Amino acid sequence: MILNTIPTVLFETSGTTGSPVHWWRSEKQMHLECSIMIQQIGDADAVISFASPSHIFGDIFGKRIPDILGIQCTAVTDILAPISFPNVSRIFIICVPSTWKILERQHKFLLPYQEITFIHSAGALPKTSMRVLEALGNRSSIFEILGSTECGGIATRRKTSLESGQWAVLSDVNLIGPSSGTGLLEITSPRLASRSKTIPTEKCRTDDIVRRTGPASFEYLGRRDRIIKFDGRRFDLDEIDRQIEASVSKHVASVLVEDELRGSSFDVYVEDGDPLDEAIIRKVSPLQPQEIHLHGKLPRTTSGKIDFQHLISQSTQGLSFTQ
Amino acid sequence: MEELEIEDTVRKCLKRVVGENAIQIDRDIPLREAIKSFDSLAAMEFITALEDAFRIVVDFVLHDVRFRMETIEKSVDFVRELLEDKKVLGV
Repeated sequence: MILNTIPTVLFETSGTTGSPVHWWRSEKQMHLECSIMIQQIGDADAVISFASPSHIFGDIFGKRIPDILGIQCTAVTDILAPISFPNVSRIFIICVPSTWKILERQHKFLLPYQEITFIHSAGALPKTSMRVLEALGNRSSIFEILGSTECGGIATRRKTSLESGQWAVLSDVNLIGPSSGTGLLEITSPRLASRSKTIPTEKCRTDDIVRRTGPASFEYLGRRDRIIKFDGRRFDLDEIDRQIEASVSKHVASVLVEDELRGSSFDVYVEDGDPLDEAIIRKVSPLQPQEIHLHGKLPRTTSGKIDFQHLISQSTQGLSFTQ
Repeated sequence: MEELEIEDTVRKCLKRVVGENAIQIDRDIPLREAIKSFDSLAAMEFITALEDAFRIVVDFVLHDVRFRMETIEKSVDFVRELLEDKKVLGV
């Protein structure tokens, strides 16, 4: 097969402001990504995909890999509609965060399968995923992929329980920097996307903080930034805080929290808040917060900055991050 | 639970998902028409919020949720039925 090396496959990322960013890949890169993943995921007779094919994850696992393997793929486009579960013995289920909540309700339809591989690549696994695994017993496992639109797949791990586990980088990925210590994840790979169709990207530095455990493995510690992904768009909590503060004229602090449907969400803390503030925030915020806490004084560090870690520890669903 | 009380809680649940607009939506207007951001994921968030608030369980296979929860009015009726079932069956 002759594969095109000119970038022809386009994915977009977008944020709260500005135009969408274009990321180009060649067919050769896409084929390489599929080949590497096929070696790792094992076998199945059919696929159920909850991931949108407009994003790289859904395109690779919901379209290209089923085509290469010659197996049927059922795309779930309406999560409220009954799912058509194929009558086979081994299945791949391509998951986004909300998938787990749906499967928790419908796990009895998965019991007839002999082997279920959940393929997940959208941030931290929600707690619901472990409840689904427990309900299904040893017939199921989760194949996790750490990656992004820019980098493609970087590392993988397979889980059968809540234990965290190390990430192993994919065979064509090289980690940049010392092989021990903590820092930002930075890689080279032949599958990096390019911002332009003519200039290839040589390396990619992510906002993920990792602790290196070997030349090709690491533990994931969290994100450097405070970004929420919502419907494929990226929202910066610092920007949301600024928008809310401009409307309520009070100090506010948003913290990332786990959301079983969307993966992550945020709570807003308002200094000297009153009920009117809540109504204003729900009106002006570009995303709906999970909870709005009307606080007295916000906790502060000795240097006078808002103590986010203290707020996160107060929130039962809080997700830590590094400032 | 009185119907008005149910509706008030239903609107509060919707407010958590779509914001202040939930307070003013007419009872009989389809939520997908009234709220631009009300996609199937938002609908699922709404259902989950209702389950938590009323301590009920919505079965996606048994209940046609897209129809039964199409409007505020239908959602209130649906919740009331589930609450009555819960009272009778003790579940």
